[in-house]
Amino acid sequence: MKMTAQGLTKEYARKSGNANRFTALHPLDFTLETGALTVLMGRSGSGKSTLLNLLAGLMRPTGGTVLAGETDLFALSDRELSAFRNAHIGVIPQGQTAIYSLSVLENVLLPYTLTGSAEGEEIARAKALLERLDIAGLADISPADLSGGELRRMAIARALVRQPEILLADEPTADLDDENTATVCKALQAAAGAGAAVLMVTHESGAEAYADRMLTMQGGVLSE
Amino acid sequence: MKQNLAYRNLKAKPVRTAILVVLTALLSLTVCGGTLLVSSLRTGLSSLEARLGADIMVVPYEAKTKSNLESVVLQGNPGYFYMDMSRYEKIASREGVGQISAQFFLASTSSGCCSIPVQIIGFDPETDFTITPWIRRSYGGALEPGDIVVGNDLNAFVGDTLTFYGVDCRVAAKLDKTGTYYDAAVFTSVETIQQLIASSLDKGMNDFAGIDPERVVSAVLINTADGYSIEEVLNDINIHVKKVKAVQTKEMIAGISDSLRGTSDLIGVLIAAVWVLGLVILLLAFTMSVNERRREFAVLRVIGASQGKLAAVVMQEAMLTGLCGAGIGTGLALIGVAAFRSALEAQLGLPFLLPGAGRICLIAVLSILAVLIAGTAAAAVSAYRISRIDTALILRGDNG
Repeated sequence: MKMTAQGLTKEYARKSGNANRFTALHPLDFTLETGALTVLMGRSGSGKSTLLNLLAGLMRPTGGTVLAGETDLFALSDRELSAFRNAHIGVIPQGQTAIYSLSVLENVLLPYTLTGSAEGEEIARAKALLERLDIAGLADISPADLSGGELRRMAIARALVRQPEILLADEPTADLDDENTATVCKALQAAAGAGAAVLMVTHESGAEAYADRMLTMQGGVLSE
Repeated sequence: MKQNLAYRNLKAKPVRTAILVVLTALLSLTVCGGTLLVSSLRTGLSSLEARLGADIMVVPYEAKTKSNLESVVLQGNPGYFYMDMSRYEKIASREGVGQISAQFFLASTSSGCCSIPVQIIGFDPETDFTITPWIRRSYGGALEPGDIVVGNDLNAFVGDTLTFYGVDCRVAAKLDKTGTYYDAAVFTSVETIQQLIASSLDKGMNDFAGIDPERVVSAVLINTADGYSIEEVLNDINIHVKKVKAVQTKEMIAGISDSLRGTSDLIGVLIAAVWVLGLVILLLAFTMSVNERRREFAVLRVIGASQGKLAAVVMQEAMLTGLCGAGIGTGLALIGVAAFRSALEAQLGLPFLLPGAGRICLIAVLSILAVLIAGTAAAAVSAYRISRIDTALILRGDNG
């Protein structure tokens, strides 16, 4: 599923200071192609995470539209948008994102169990993902016992388990060693190879090696 | 595989969950226990009113002035007083008197002549309208000479023989619990009590030496005739029948009613104080519990939980802890009131009768509902706030 942004812009209101509006994202047109891993690079505060959150429908834009396939994300109600995200968009947020009352496997299955149940096929897929990400042996333990790299791989498995058509990853390799970084990048590359439209936001140059397309964000302006 | 996230969240934090359960248990314990206590006191008072069952009680003047009337009639302290039968006849002839019946009192002693020291009340089954309807619930037959009916608190059973002033009396029936002082009294027919009074006189153990047992009564109970007010009939008797005092039975229990009101108010204030405190703590507990999991809730939003789903998780947690706590608290209240009712009765000094099973169930169910509503209301604030979280802001780091 292709994702298209048109005239997308985001402004924030500052709580204090002379300039009470801050433009995080200047109007941009952007397409996230299917079957490709797009890497978006930029310095901290450049607006790349804002773009990713807008594409995920996690925040409302000041202007513009985001189409996922033919679906205008911001024309949907909260319930519809949540259901759409659950079914079609996999998001790997920044930092640690585990639900600590659940085991690793249950965390991975959460996209299913949040709205229903996970049966044999879904459980098998989740276990296969854990295997591919080299954390199969940790399936039944608490996320509290995982290292940072293992937690990140668990989050990737969770984002991939529903085989989303769009995959958005925000700094998935931050704070990871070279080996873990390579594992994560290969997993995203594999998702793109399977037909997903993948966007990886990062400020680490090592990701370029895996990219099908490179974009740069600077001061809220996107460039190829 | 299905996951109840609310249940898993509670299970994962046993200390936090236990605190929430204890708090809700405390709320239900106070509301159920307090309501049951007040209800039992009110049922006890109603029972006492029903047992008195007459508009007016007429007693010898000395009985009222010496203040032992309430002691004997309301508090069940063994005691007795008599007046001549001619006064009963005079009272019966007064205008406005509808139903009328005499009662006869005698106190047994703890000496060798008597099995137990109790208040013995004699009544005339032919005319009685206060005790008979109540006794008929436990005993359908007629009382033969020597038969007695014992109150529920007495350690005697049907078929037992109790001796009073050397006279053997057969226990014909044991009454249901009334919650009043009548539970420790013995009832018998006029013939039997006259025999007992005569025997106490023969043994020199009656303060009223020289009376004719067949020509005395202790109290006269009256229901006014249609068209006459209680005050009208009461004043007429006090003016025209010498050496007697007519009192309105409602006035006799006015003191008990006042005490009951005072006790109810105090219990109400205590319940309110516990609830205000409990609800504030619950509100804080839910707020803290949700705040420390803001990131987890943000992750759920990312995965596809709607605002309503996040609120539902918080509300389910409140419902589960509420149900558990309310069940425990209500159970403890029921057990506590049932186990300590005698101590409560003695401590409060008021008639105390547990309401019927249906009413107890109703109080228990309403208590659980009240706690569930209060608990979920306390959680609703947190549920609303967490459903409106800025997911991107919570998940955003410094990189973007």
